[in-house]
Amino acid sequence: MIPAVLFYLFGAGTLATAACVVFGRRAVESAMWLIACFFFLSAEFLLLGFPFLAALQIMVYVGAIMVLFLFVIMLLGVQGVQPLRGRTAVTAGMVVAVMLASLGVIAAAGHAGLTEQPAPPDMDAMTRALFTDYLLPFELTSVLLVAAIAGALTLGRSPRTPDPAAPPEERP
Amino acid sequence: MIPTAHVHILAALLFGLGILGFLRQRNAIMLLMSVELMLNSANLSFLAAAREQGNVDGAMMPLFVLVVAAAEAAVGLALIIILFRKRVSLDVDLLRSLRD
Amino acid sequence: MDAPWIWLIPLLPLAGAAANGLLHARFLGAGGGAAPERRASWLGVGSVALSFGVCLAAFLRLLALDPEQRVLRASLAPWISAGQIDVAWSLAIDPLNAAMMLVVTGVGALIHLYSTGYMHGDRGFAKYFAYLNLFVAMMLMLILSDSLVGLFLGWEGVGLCSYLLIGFWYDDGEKADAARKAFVVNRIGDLGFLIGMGLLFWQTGSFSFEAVNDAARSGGIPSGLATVAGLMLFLGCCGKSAQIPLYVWLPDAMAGPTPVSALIHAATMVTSGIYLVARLADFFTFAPGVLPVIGAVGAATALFAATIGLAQRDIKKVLAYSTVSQLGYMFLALGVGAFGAALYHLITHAFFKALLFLGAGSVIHAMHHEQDMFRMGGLRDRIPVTFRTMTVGAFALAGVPLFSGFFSKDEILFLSAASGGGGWLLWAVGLTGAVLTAAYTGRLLALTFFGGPRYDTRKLTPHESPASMLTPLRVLAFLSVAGGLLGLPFHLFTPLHDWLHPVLGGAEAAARGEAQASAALEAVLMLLGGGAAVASLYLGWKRFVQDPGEGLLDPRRGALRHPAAAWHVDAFYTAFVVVPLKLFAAVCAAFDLLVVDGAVNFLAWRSRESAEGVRSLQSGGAPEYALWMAAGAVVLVAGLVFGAL
Repeated sequence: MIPAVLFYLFGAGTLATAACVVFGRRAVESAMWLIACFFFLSAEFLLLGFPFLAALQIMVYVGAIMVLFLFVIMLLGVQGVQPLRGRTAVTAGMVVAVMLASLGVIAAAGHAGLTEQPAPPDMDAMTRALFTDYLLPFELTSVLLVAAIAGALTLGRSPRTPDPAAPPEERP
Repeated sequence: MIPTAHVHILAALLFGLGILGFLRQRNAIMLLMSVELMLNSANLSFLAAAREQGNVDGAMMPLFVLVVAAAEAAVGLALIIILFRKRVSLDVDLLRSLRD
Repeated sequence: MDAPWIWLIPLLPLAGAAANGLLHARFLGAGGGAAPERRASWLGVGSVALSFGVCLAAFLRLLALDPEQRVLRASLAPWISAGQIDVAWSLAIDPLNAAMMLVVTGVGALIHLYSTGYMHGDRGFAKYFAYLNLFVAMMLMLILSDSLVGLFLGWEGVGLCSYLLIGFWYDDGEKADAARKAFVVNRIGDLGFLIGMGLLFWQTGSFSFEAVNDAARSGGIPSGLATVAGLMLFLGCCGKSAQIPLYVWLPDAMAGPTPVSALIHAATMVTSGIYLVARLADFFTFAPGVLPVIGAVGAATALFAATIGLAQRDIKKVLAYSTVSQLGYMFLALGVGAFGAALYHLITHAFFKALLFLGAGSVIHAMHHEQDMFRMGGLRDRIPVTFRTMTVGAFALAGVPLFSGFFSKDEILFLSAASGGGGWLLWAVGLTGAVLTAAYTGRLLALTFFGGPRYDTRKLTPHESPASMLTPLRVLAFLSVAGGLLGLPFHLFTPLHDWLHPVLGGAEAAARGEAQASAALEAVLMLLGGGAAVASLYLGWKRFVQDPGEGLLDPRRGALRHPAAAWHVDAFYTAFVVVPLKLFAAVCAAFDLLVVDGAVNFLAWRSRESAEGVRSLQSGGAPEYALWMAAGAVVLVAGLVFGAL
């Protein structure tokens, strides 16, 4: 009973903070709300029975990704208040978003649970799967991350400083 | 006892908010944050399904989404820095170079 | 017996190829030079030498096993697994391919070493070693694989390397053409190979050699089908091993660097057809009518190519036709069921033909890339080491008694004479070929090393090659003599045959049946063959040492004008195969341009016309695009939700 109550409580919190992200006017404030939203989501994961992912949510999203966002926002010293789009564009966006969300809600509400007593897979099964069936994708993520790092380095390099690693101009 | 359907509904609403943010905002950083919201709503749905079926496959997906999100944030923010260097603005509505 | 480490044998040269390939970029960047060359040499020679070391270890391991159980297996991973097809990355070493792999890596390492001297100063030095290492890796894959599919991978891989190396100096149009010719002619053979492989899989449900041989032994393959499959596989062998009618690419393949000719187009790759037939010895024995065809084609090729070899002016062309001819002897041996003798000749030939090619390379090196023997002469004092070692190789090729070629060729001729049926005819053809072989060998020695210089002595002073090139020559010269010890006549001492017996013994017994011959006959034939060879060698030498005989090759009046033009086979192919195909291609091209392209262009034009209307949607702003995308998602999800509910 208590988990269910907490679930709705945290769900409301998730939605509220997400709304603050979306309707926020300053990037720094939005980022802060997003961090709060991630904390609520992490709590939801915990309630659903995924403590490992809940921890990862905090560590990776809040600890790494959002810090990166904040760094960039601070670095660029972004303008005070955000301009919004023209009125028609915003209205069209809202209509589309509401339609999509309500469709999702309709689909989810019509979805009958398959099992009476849901049982989330335990940590043991998850780690086993990660290092057996999912070994190749898991290893490939490291390649993806290296590629992302290399890409970020290349993109972020200041164009003015000459590149010491570049090959000499003349070639036979 | 949390019904699976309600978790999916929460995910759908969260996704809608993400879409809304993506369409409403003009700041490139805000767009990326909206994308993070959408990714997280997908994670939520995956976990709901994994919980219902007691299946590890659904629980694996958020891990990979997490990695993709990290990579996306790194590259996306690097692009934003370049954008800022070139245009001194993050307003995506001022970018019209995708024409033709 | 499981031995996963044998995977090192092909993987070491493969790693060398990759490293040298990477080095090539640096090499170009640095503009060549001594240091990168040294690095490429170490990588290239070292990887093959290490592979040879592993081969030796595998050989010793086999030697320690019981003769009937001499096989090392290593399965790395599944490769193709679909339906009935189940092919793995797996190697199996038995006595047959153990002998082959020692030759490939041993001779290969020597030729790599030689190449470090020969290719010195070339812009593509690292690239050359990358290709050469890749070739060795692929050749080892071909030899060591335990299934037809793995063999085919190597088969195509060596074909690719051969193409790359023939066209190594691709900015010369003629050499690029020669590379293309080799590739295309080999495709014809490969088609046969694929058909044969498919038929065998259809009948036996497996690609593995053991399964095919077992099925053939137990009569599991219908005889008509076995004949067709056998002939198709033999067509593949004709392409790779340069037999009539697909031999035409090999003489042109001499456009590549000379060590390549030695390694690929004499010692190893071209023998893969012989290996394939020996590998499937049981199958070929039980496929009715295939072995006689192989024997006849081999004998015909042996004689035919020998006549052409007598009338060439290019030193490498002589050796090329000689290679075709010697491969013919090997097929002759296979055709009469003497599989062991074919392998014996394959090994001795690898030694002495590699030696001759490397010697020719040394001559060409000394003559500053002059290959015309009529522009040489009197080189024996100028390049004495090359002269001495090449003479050893020439004696082995000609079949002078006590040299290795004598024993192996003699065994083939004797066994074909003793095979009953048309055996005497095959023997006669083979002996005639052997006489011609000795004659053109004598001519080659006479024109190159004897007489007076026929080049401009003021401009050119031939000099002996560096030690890195002479060492392989000396080693191969030793092997060309000592190779005879692998199988002495009269069953005196036959280590090679004893070694191969567990693999090939059954097929040999089945193919040769009761055909046995007395030692007296063997002795008579041996005396006859040896005497004829020595006499012919001397006569050939004598005839051309006095007069180079350039007039004999004159295209209008020369006595040897037809063999000099390779019996006009290339002209025949051009007129009856190439030209009609080109005409057909022109018709296809016209159809493609007018009809196919026309239809596509019309569609494109219509699309553009109709697209003008929706062009305004493309505003160039990413947010609008996102809005449209989201709207599309709404439609899609609505369809899914209301369609499913």
